[in-house]
Order: sequence, then C-alpha cells, then structure tokens
Amino acid sequence: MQRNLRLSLPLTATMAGAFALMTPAAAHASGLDAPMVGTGQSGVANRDAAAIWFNPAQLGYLKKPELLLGGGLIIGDIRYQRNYMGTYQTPDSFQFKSPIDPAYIDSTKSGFQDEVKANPIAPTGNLFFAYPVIKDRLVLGAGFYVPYAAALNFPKDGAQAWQVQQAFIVSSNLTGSAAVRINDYISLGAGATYALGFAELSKLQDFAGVQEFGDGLSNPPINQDNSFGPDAPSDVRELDVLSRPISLKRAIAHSFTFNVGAAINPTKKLNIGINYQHSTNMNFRGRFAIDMNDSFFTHDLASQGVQFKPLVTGDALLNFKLPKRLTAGVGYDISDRWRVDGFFSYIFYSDIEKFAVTTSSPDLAQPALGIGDTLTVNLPRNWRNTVWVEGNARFRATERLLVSGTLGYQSPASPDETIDTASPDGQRLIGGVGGVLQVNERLGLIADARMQGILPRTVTGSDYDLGNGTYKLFIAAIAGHLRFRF
Amino acid sequence: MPAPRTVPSLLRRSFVTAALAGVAVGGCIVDEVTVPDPPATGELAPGQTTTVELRFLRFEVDGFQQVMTIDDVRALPKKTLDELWLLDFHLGDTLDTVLAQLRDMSPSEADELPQAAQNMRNLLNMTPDNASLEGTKLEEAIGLAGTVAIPPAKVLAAIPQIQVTDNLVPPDIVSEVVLDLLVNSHPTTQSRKGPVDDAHPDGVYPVEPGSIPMTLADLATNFESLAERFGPTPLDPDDPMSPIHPGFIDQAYGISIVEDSFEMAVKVSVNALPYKGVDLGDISVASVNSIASQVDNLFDFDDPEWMTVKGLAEEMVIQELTMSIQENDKFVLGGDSRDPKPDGNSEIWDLPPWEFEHLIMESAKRRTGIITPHCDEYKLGTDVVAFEACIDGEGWTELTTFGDIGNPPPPAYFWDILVEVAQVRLHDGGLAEGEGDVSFTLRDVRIPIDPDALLDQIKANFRADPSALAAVAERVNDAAEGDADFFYYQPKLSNGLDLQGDYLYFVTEDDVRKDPNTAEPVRDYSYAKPGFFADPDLSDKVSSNQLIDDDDSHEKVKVSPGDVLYIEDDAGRRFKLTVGEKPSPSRITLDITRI
Repeated sequence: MQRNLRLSLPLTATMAGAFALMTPAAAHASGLDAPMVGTGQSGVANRDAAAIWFNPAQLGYLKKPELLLGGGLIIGDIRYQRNYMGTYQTPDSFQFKSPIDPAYIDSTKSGFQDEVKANPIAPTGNLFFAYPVIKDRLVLGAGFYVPYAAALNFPKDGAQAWQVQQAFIVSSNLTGSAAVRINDYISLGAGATYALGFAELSKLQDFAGVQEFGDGLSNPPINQDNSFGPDAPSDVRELDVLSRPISLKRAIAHSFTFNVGAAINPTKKLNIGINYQHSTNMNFRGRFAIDMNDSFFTHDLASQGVQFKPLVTGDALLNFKLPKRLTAGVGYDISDRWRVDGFFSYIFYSDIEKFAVTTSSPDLAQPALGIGDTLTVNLPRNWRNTVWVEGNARFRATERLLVSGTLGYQSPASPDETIDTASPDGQRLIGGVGGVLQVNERLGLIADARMQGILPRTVTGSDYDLGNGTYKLFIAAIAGHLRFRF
Repeated sequence: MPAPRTVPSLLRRSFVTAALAGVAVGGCIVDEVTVPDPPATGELAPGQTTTVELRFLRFEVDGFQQVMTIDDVRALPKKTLDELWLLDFHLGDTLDTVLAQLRDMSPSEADELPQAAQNMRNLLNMTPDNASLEGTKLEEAIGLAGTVAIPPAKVLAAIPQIQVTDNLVPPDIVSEVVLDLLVNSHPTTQSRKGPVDDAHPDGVYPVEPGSIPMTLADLATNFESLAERFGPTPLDPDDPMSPIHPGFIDQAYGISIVEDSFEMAVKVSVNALPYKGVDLGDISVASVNSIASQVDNLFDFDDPEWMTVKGLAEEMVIQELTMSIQENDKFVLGGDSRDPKPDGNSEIWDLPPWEFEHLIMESAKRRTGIITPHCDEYKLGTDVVAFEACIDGEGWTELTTFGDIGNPPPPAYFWDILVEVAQVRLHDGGLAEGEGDVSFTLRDVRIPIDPDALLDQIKANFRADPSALAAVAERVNDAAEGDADFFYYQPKLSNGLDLQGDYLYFVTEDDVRKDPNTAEPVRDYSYAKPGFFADPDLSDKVSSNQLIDDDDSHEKVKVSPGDVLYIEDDAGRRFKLTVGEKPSPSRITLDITRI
C-alpha cells in the first residue's frame, strides 16, 4: 500500500541581482513531502476515495458513495551540521581571484560548525469524495489534497544560510477522477488535476557563485579577472559583501496534470494496482526582494556603472518539473484477518537537471556592465531516479477494528555533489502504524501515525564545498480521518 | 476605490485561501527581505555618545583600465580639464605652416585680406626682384644700378648672396623670430600652473620656449580658449599698471588634434573602494576618495600599455585662426651707426619684442648673420668700377661710388636697411603709421603632427608627475560621499606584522570632497589641530605622519580596542573616541562622545 507518493517539491529561490544574481536554492522535498495523503489504509492497490490520488482505477470497485475527510499534524526535525572542507578567505575581505593570498585565508573557517535545525510543525488536511454514478460500472470522484509540503525555518545566521534560511512550499491538488469497472477483474481509471503551488523562501544569495557577477567584473570597464561564477572555488565564496539576503515571496504556480491507473484482481484475494502519475510543470510566479544595501553595490563603484538600489524588487519565475512516476502495488488477503500489501515506485528524478529562475526588474539593470533587467539563472541538481518501496501488514483484530503497520524505504535523489539543506535527502526509512474503527456501517474512524527519517548522511563530495556536512531528518505525521459511506 | 473583483479572481483567491488552509505552516513564515532605515545622524550635544561601525574593504584591482572617450573627457569638470597639463606644444611647425599659407595665398584670396595683412603677405614674399626700394635708404642705389646698366634687384640680391627671386628673409627665419620674440614674450607661454611640490613651491612651472602649454581642456574644447589665453595679457597679472602684451591670437575656432574616435585609457592598480570615515559634524559614515592617497603606485610605468591613446590625429586641423602682430605707432628709423655694437643705434631695438618693427629687425639681423663678408664691384662699360657694395662680418653694409656717378646711400647695418624696406612696404596702400597692425585670418589650416611623438611626450610628462593624471582618475572614479574628518585604514598585508592592524587617518586637504561639477573642494580645510590626541586639551598628539603604504601625508594612529583618543573637527568641536571591540577582522566600532 502506498502511503504518500514520494514527491519532490523543488523550491528554487533564486534571485538575480547585481551583476547577475541569484543562484537558485532548491528545497527538494524528498524529506519535506507531505508525509501522508489520504489514510494509512489508502494505496495503489487499495480501494477508498483516496484512490483519486493513488490509483483512480480502484474507484471502480467502490459500491457506495464515500467521503473521506481528514486532518493531521506534521512535525519535523531536520538537522544539518556543516563541515567546511574547503579553503575560505576572511569573510569581511574581498579577494576575487583564486588562489587567494594566504594572508587572507581564514584558518578558523574549517571543519564542523554548529548544528542547525528546523522543527516545522504544520497542520494538514484533505477531502476525497467518490460517487458511483452507474452501479458496478462508473464511479466519479473529486479530491482536494496536499501532496507536497515543505516548511523550513533555519537560523538566519547559520552556516546553511547560503543554502536556505526559511522555506515554505505547498502544492494543493484539485482532482477529478473517473473509473470504469470493466468486470470483476479489471478496472481502469484516470484523473485530471489542477495543481496550485505556493512557495516562499529566503536565503543568503552568494554573488560569488553567479556568472553574471563574475562577467560584470571581468568585462569592461572593470576588467578584473576573477574566479566568480557557478564554478567558483570555496576561497572566493561566502564573503560578507557578496552575501545578500534574498527572498522569494508569494510565488504561485498553476498547473495541470493527470494520472491513469489500472486495477487488476486475478483472484478475489489478490489485488494489483498500477498508476502512472504524469509530470507536472510548475511555474512559480512571485516577487523577489534582495537586500543590496551595502555601499559596495549602492555607491562605491557607481562611477564604474555599479549602482543598485538598496532594495531591489521585481518579478521572479521559478520553473521546475515535478517528475513523472510509475507505481505498481499488490495486495493479498492471506485470511479473513490478515492482509499484506505493498508497492514499488520508480520516480524519474533524473528529469531534473537544474532549476531555472528568471528574475526581472528595472532595478536589476546595470547597463554599463551589460546587465539587462531580466536574468535567468540555473541551479544544477543532476538528480537521480529513485525507488520507493513499502510494505504493509493489516490485521483485523475485531469486527470493528483493523490495525496496520508499515515499513518502507526511499532512495535519495540528490547526489552528494548537489545536496544541500534546501533538499535534505538520504536513505530514508519509513515506518507507520494505523487503525480503523468502524463505528457503524457508514462511519469509520481512521487514525494513523507515520514516521520517516534518513540515516545520518555525511557528505564530503559536495561541489565547491557548498553542502558538505551531516544531514539528519525525521518527520512524524499523525492524522485522523472520518470515512462516510452512504 | 478598489477594483471590482472578477469571478475568476474570486475563485482563484478562494482556492489559494483553501490551499493555504490545507497546510498552514506553524512557525515558519518566510520573512520579507527589507532594508533598515539609515541610522539617524545629527550633531551630538556635549556629553552625548553614539557608536559607529567602520569597515575597511580592499578591492585591489590590477591593471584596471579606465577609458575616456572624448565625450567622457568633455564631461569632466572644467577645473580638472584645465589643470591636466598634457605637454608643451611647440609652435614651430604651426607657425611655419601658418606663415607659409599666408605667403602662398592666391592673389584673389589675398585681396580679401585687410590692407595691412596684404602688406604682411607681400613682405613674406619680398624678393630683391619685387622689392620696392622707394622711400628707403636704398632708393639711391637704384640710380647707381642704372649707371652700370644692371637691374637694381641684382645689387640688392648680391648683398645677402641670394638670387633675385629668393626671399630676402627666408620664412624659417621669420617663423623662428616670431616664436622667439612674439610668442615667447607672452606671459602665458612662459609658465603654467602645476601641483605644488618641493621643486615648485609656488606651483609655477616653466614652459618650453616656443611652446604653448596644452591641457586636456584644449583637447576637450578644440582649443576654444586659445584666443583668451594668448590674446592681450598683462605682463604682470598682479600689477594693474602692468604693460599689456597684445598677444598673437585674436580668434581661434575649430582647432583639433583628435578624431571622434579619441579614446584615452590608463591602467591603474589601486584599491578601487573609498575609505570609510566619520563626519563628526553629524556623526555619519562618509566615504573618502582613495585615489589621491595611492598616487605613487597608481600606474605601472614598466608596462608599455600603462597608457594608450587612440584617435590622435596625424594633422592638426585649424578651421579658422586669426593671428595679429602689432606695429609701433611711429615710423622708427633703422640705425645709421655701428655703435652701440652689435646692433647699432636704431630705436627699434628698444621697442617691445612683440612689435612688428622689432620682429622685422630681428629677422633681418638673423638673415644678415648668414651673409659672409664680401664686396661686389659694379663696372661701367669701360671696365671702370663705378661703385662697390661691401658687407663685413658684422653686417655693416657700405656702398662706395667712384667717379661722378652719384651719391651712395649712407652706410648701415644690413638689417637697418631691410627694416626700412619692410616698414615702408607695410604701409603700402595708403596706410598711415599706426594703421599697420597686422591681422590675418586663415582657414582650414592643416599642420602635420606626429601622434606617436605626441603620445610619448604626454606619457613622459605624466610619468614625471602622475598626480595630474591621478586627479582625472579621481574624478572618473569619484566615490566620495559626505565630509569625513577621519577614516579607517588597514595597511596592506604585505607589510610586517608590526605595521599591520587598525589605523585611524586624519583627512588631509587632498581628501576633501570635490564638487562633481566644478572639481572644487566643497569645503575649506580649516582644521586648527589636525591629528589625534591623548588628552582633551589636544596637547599630546599621538598621531604621526608615519610612512605606511607609501603614504606619509596623513596623520595616523594605530588603534586597539579600549584605546581613547581625542580629536577636533573643522568647526572646532572636540570629541572623545573610544575604540570598541572588533566585530570582525576588517571592522572597528567607535564610541564617539562630544566633549
């Protein structure tokens, strides 16, 4: 049984600025997905109204109208201890060409730093409704649910500040589904989804990593060869003057996608489900603001054409694609009391090579340096395809009570080279328990507790030392649902 | 009044609201990036204390190329343009060309000239063949020549040893004399203003003889101030009764030695950022332009490309130029005596050097100087010598007759003879004495120049005195803001450990912010007690002009957390500075208390 589809909620916060600006930071939500959609009893091979999300074909076997209404609480504990493995110059200096004169090297900026943590607490909820319009033939459904959510609130002055300081991402789906029961053995279903995304985030934008900034210095009139750009070595990064606070606010994405599924019942005890979730192209359009309030940017080089307003604001477009995925699940009724089920998902995260962020503002333009008012910046991700497997055991303790347990695993999408706290990721283990109390023929109460965490992941191969360190993640979700069958 | 909401808008908003309600975030609202208001500034009351933080940031640019197009140059303040001396431009070729053009002017063009200018042109073209000797000492020689049946021109040509069609005074001599007497006597061609230094405590520099000082303003304005600078000028500008030099340029228009593609580029190696200091008047953080204090190392003169100039033309184009030469109001005779030697007794030698008579006299004398002593005999048909013309090594010229053929002209120096010829000719056409001031206008004069030589000379001059060019760099890289009384400095890390650390520098006069439009200092440097002191009475100075990073002009003091200093600003207010803990290696904090 599939609990929550493993999703990535890449949130890119990037902003472009002075000579170039923002490098996107992604909040890849492998660890930040809404950890529960529907109930613990929902899944690709299971039949309830939440099949709108998991596998619309399973709706075809619903004999009565069903309303599934629930809410819950998500609690997270995300920790990161950065390990400076590169060489850094004193942050309040400004040497721009590597290798740096040893006199400027900050020998104290080395090794593990203070651990930072975020403890998001967020309520969640969903609503599914399925209605058989033609008995034993056609079932229609509609659902409003939140498959993706991420919330982070790290210290603003922590060592992760160049990756992310705060992030809040949510994507809500409004899905309409239809399932056709071919016969007792096969049902087919499909759903069309309108996805509404909302994203905000903040970070320190390191201009040292921005190509346009490097170009601005190296091109006339300044003509200074420098090491800035996406491949900037650590010794020119994270300088005070180039670390500018930036935020992406009120970014909203509208998108459409679909899923199709099939439910196959070779026998009465064996249920097989297959679901294909199509990719979703997300274009978050919002506003960015970047604090350029340093005399270096606002005044000191004005005669050379570098002069920003203290606060640059404008439009931002964050584009990425939620990957397509293919999920197959199977369930088997061992006896009247026992049932086991599970699923396997293959998620095409390799589709995501980068996040693209386009910012535009008249205040970005620095004509003397050849910088226009619109900039597009890419953040390399180079994610890998992932697998997600889960297994469940369900035991009907009494006529009215059913209990279940879950074990699962997700492989990481982020390679060591690109991981950061915006997308904490690792070998993830999943566990959960749940129960259903059937109050009467119509009403069922469903309770679930679900936990997931990554094995502490120590990264030493981060490109340019951007994300080396140890990542820890633990998320717990508790949820309660009411299930009405009319 | 808010705009009415459309149904789609309401639906979208409703859905967004619902979506957010679906997952409300507890404790994680992303903060808006905002910029704090600038810190409050204002004059401190006695006893009041405030804290400021200063940062020292090095942006060491190497070979930073500052390029100025002709438009950029023109945009510089006039003071900066006027003060940037490029070179002393020798006028020899220019005068040669101008006089040659006047001399070679077609008759029809010459007819358009004023009578005096026409006469001047005639003088430049005067040969023994076309010289009119009537009314001069040589008039009597006409009759003598007739007695021996040879043209008078031959007699006249024989004395200076030329052919009858040769110029009596070669143009190069005229040009040379004009330079030496007319141009060099003008005050503006004798000295120029420059930076005050030990060798030039009055800031006055000599100009190469025969040259005019050329500034960046000349390039920028096509020499528009030429007439003003080289027109009538008191010989002593400080003396209201001073004689006036009449000058030699009445009008100049459209003079250019640069093309539209002109581009001057200099490479500088410099900390491009200003120094951060404090204006004690309102306790605000101010920026001090750092260029001037780095002038000694600003340019790498070993790099042949340290300065490049494109678009210097290969010829100077003068669209219109009016030159003038003033004559004396009287007819001044040539001399008739050998004494006083070596010039003789003509009063012309006592005239101002710029007057026409003096110029002609000097030209004639120089022409005479190349004549070898000789005698020419002129015989009758009977082979009897009728008269002879002799000139000795001093230029004394004597015609002697033999027999009863007439009276010879009285002896005189050859220049005394020529100057009369010239003076008389200058008044041809009915001009009375005093009306012979020569003024002629030439158009579209093209004078070949060697741009490479010009550039080499400019570069050599800048190398000798880079401060002038640094002033331009300062204007181009003007980063000054506010009016700091002192600023924060950290020596280069290449210094020994004993020198490294945090320093406070008291501003010098050079640090005073310049008005961007005029380049004039925006305030007087009126500090009664510049420097830092250990006591409120400012009797125990702790700062010095210690040499750090080639700078010994600033009063400076090394500071550490806990140090207490006293300082007085340009308004006489006194302050106590207490150095606080360092926020970071390149920052300091100061508690400033007005006392």
